[in-house]
Amino acid sequence: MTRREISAEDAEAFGKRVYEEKVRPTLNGTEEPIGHFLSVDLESEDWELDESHLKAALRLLERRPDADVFTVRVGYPTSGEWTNVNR
Amino acid sequence: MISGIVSSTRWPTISLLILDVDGYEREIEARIDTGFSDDLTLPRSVIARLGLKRVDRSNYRIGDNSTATFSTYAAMIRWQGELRQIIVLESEVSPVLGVGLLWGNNLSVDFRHGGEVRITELEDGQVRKE
Repeated sequence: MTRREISAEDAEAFGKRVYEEKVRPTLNGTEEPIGHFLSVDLESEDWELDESHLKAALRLLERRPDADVFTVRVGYPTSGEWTNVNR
Repeated sequence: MISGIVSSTRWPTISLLILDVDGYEREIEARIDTGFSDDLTLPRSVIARLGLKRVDRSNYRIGDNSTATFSTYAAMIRWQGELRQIIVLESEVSPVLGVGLLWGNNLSVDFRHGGEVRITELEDGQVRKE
């Protein structure tokens, strides 16, 4: 399937919005999952949350094999760092 | 223990066994970069040849302090004698192995040409869950 073109900034904002609107209400006052990974399907906005980036994304793909998944890290600006590479 | 050597370009380098889509082990040479927080990077052509499963896209902070989006894939590798599932970022630079994969291990490098690289597992209890 064709992946939706989305800028890094828009995808991050999308992930944060899904966290605020869909994930946070399910926390029921429990501690925020800071550092956990939130995988979101850009089409359906279905999501999965896990301590492991790979586990969150693969669980979402298990349920929605055609999902166009973008993953963000809760409480962090990016999922990770690679300081030795440039554009 | 996993062992490798320091390359002529001064990078600690090891050979990794990665499973292709048919389950055959293929050898990949990767340089160790502790400035990379995840497991492994591979060029698109290698990902295609191995037939790795596409996972997602995700943002990473890169060297000029900007953010770049990478496509990721899932792969199985043989690591310290066992099969382990890892995340692979698509990048056209030569394969890079990061601290995600090194987590729970001790890395020792003799920094000289041809120097020895050793990766040994930490004992249970020495690894704090992150």
